[in-house]
Amino acid sequence: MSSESVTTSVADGVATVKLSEPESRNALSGAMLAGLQAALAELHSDPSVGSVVLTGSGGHFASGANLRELRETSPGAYLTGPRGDAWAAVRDFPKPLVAAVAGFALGGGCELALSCDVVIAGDRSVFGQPEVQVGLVPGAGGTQRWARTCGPYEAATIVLAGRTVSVWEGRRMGLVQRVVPEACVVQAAEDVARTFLSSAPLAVRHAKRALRLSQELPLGAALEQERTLLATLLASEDLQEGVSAFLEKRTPIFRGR
Amino acid sequence: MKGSDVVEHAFRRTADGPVVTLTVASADTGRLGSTEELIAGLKVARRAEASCLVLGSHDGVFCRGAPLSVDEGRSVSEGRVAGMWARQHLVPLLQLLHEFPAPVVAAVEGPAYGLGLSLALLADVRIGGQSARFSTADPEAGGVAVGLPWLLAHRVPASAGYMLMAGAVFEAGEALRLGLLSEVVSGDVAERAGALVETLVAAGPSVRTTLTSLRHVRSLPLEEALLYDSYAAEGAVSARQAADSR
Repeated sequence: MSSESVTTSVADGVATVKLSEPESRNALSGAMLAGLQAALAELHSDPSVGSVVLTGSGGHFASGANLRELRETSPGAYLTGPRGDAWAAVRDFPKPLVAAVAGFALGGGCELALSCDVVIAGDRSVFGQPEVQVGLVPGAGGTQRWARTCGPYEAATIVLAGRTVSVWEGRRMGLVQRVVPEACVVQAAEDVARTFLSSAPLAVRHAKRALRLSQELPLGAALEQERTLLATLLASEDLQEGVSAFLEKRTPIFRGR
Repeated sequence: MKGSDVVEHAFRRTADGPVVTLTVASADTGRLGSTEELIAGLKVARRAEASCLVLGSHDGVFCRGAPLSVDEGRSVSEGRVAGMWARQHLVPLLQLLHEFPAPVVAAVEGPAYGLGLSLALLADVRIGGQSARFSTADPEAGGVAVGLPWLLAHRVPASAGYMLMAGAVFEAGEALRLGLLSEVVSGDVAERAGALVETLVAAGPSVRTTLTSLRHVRSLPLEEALLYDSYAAEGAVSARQAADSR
């Protein structure tokens, strides 16, 4: 389950997707994004995979868009091209996504980390949106997710100045959930990804969706959606199994139905 | 880069093997020299993956404080000038030092006043000659210093309040008692700093993990710090296993 730019491995219910172009610091070229989209599509339909770790190679997460490629792209081609679909595939991926960030997570690389549900980062990693310094703006959620993650005022210092922040500042801002030694970042992310596996898969998907809606809808509408999501689970086999196991004091066996 | 200067700059900056020495004070004034030069030197040292950085003294002076005029002769007695200069020049310099990925040793001779004390406190190991003396204030002229309350609180918590409020000059012996120095050297300070550097370099990669813990992990909540340490231990064991299997 691999392309030239993206490799995938699966162990014990956790898939690890690796961006594998170390010579470009895993720049998010069209080919890279297409590889990522394809990998996520396979993992979406693989019932043996409960959660996914997304990481880079060569000591970095991802350095952002391929600027040479982007410079040659017309506005129309950008808007109608496949990049939007690839980013939507990340955004709408229903299973928990854990970013394992080492080194640089800049521009699109930073947006990719921000698109994940949890960010585990190495103790030397660096985050930032430097787009304005080359005449662009973030185009894959950077302006929106920084503001939602750490508030509009902190976001302004990063997005408007093209400033980078160390992992320690990222931890303080709430972007990073755990800082670990750089060499162990993938293991630590896989450990976090594994913690989701004992939960009912359908419930995890619905809960993830509800969390996402909290960033997109007004509170009243989001609460209504949350109630609807709960209601749809009332007819699930997993709920029956979960309650039975709780009452019988045993470990539940969920089937995701 | 062994055996050659790291870069040609106005200040004495030499590379001895993977060890980079920066002399922070200007030879003319004994005050902080060009921040651009120092920042450039730190970046070069970082790119060259220096295994140790020494902040050295020059002619018996570590650093008397910040320069009294900046940006083409503008006086730091103007608040706006002082503040802008501190934010644009000092803060990046101090942050770079704080994040330098290898051990930083301060070899202090003579005054480390105001900003000089900030620079010394940013070092991971500080040694001082008999002539070393420290003050949070800049006794001569009130040059700009930043970071002292934070640094004193984090580096020598027991004596921080006393030092800040007393505003006195502490000689080497008292500085040792207060925890500003790890030792007072009776002989050649630079020679002793060289021996210390040898020890740190010989300790290998584990020094960097320790540095991160000293500088950053302490700011995490205990549970996260313990988790960090558990992965550090895991990494160390894995590295040993890999070395053994080769």
